[in-house]
Amino acid sequence: MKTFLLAGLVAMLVLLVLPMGVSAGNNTAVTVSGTINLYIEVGVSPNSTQFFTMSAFNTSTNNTAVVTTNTSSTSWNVRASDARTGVSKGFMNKTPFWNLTNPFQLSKDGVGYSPLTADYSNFMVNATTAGSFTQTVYQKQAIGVADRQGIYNIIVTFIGIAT
Amino acid sequence: MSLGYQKKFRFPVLALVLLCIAACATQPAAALKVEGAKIMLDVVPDTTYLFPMAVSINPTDSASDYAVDVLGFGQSVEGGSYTPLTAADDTSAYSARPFVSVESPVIHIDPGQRKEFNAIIRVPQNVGDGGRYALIHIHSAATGGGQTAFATAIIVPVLLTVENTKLIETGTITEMGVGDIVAGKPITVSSTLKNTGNHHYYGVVNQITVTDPAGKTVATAKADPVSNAVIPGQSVRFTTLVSTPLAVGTYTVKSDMLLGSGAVLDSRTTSVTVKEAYIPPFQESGVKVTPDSPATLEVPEGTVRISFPQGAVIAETTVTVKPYTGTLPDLPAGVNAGTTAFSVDGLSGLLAKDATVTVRYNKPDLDAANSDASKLVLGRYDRGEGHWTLLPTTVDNNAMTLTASTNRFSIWAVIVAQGSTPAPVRTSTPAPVQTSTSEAGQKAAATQSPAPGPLFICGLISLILLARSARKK
Repeated sequence: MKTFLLAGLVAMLVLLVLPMGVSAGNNTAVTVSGTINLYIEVGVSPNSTQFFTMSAFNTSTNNTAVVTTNTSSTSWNVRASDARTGVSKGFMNKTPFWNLTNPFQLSKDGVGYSPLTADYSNFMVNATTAGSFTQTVYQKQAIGVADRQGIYNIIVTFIGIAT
Repeated sequence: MSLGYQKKFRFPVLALVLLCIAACATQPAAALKVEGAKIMLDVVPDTTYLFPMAVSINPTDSASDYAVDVLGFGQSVEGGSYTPLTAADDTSAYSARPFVSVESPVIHIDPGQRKEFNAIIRVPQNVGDGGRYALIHIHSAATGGGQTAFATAIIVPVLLTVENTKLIETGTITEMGVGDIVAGKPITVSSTLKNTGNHHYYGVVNQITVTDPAGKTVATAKADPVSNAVIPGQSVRFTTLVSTPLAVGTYTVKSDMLLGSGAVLDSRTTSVTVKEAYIPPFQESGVKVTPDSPATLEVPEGTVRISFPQGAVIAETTVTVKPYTGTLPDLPAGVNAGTTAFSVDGLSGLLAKDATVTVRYNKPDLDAANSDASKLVLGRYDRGEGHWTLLPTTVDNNAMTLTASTNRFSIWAVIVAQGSTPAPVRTSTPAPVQTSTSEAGQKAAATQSPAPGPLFICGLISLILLARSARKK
């Protein structure tokens, strides 16, 4: 009987002390409820392109892709970026570390090109309207006389932000 | 079907299937959708918030692992783009990065799948006053395999406001400058604003006022508000264009940074000297061109005049002309451009009958030619071919005009040709004229690829195999 009483007392103490311990360690948890209706979707088609065979002194401009943004946000932008940092950023290169002489360039109209050594901010931008939008991306790569033969690559990331 | 027949065709069929897969695999799309794409909350210290989010990809996309990284909130000076900062670079006192996390740093998504997860925000008891900021970067390592591979990513801004604390929204213009004053180009005034408060603000407008030495306002300009918030500790450059005629003289340029409420964050002035009377860019103008009557497109300032004869187009279309203010495409060797440049939109393909373009050149154009107007020609940049065509041009020294005929439109510029008037450059037989009523239509036409599609390749290979088997029989 004494054992039962002792066990009951210990159990009661545990039940009393444990919640206090938990509440002392945790703050209030709040789940932000409601539907998650603000969305942004960024797509690019095709997801890769191929220049024709490139040769010295030539500039390849033959390929395009289409970036699509679909969003419920009225204020948004998409920027184009080469995620790498340092001397390789914005250059097509081949394994292990050969960069082409000239930077890779992007354009929205096939006329005014920007080197991807810096992010192409506001590749798509809208401060007032939600909906679905498309933008053709034009690419350009000039080949220098010192560029070595080989297969060069670059990864361009289109980053969408509901601002 | 006999076993031998099956064996005989096993390899070609397998090859065909592999080729089809390869052909189809070269043209996929990549799309990433994030729901809960912006976290903007009023928060209470010592509270945890679970913010629901979801990531999905299209049924046609490949299965992939998506990384969900919580990073510091940086901004580029140019345009104020939100830029993720690593922990080492995220030194801001207003960072929320240390107390924002996600349930899983990597999410595997199969084609067409949507996965929900929570962003977890554990607001510390001693969080402090004002706002706290972080960025959630959702990205995939998977990309296409071509020379240029494309990937997509989403950045989710996290903007937290600590409730019942003192919010300070202040700013300082740390830098101000006026660009070169060139006839036909807008004057660029740039002002850099640093958020010196403890809370972000949206909708900042840079209002520019130009006054003459007598203090009279001669020009004002206001850029549209930027779509990005300005975060405490960050600096954003605002660029405003002034396009008002200015006489020779010295002017005071004032920049006022205004909040949406109209409150002035900061003001700064600088002076600028106009050495030659400034002529602003002409106004964008348009005209409807129909097949059955001639039409003339002329800007109000008289800088550009385009005459379309009857029958120049085969369908009604609206043609617009506007100043070209961007960087001109690379010019041919041995020539340089003046300052007059414009683009003509609304037409694709070739005109059935040549139009006449007359451009009034200005003094900077003439200066570029060392005051020899006979060296000036009209240059047309042909987007399709990606090169300039210098057109045979008639120069009228008295009217200061250049006139040329053309069967197509794109970007135009006044060019200084070192030699004599160039020989005519003509497209061979004019193709039937195509018209489009919008730039979007032009772009759609420009994106049509002449390369054969995957189905065409599969069909061709099937025909070859069938022909071979028929010949063997």
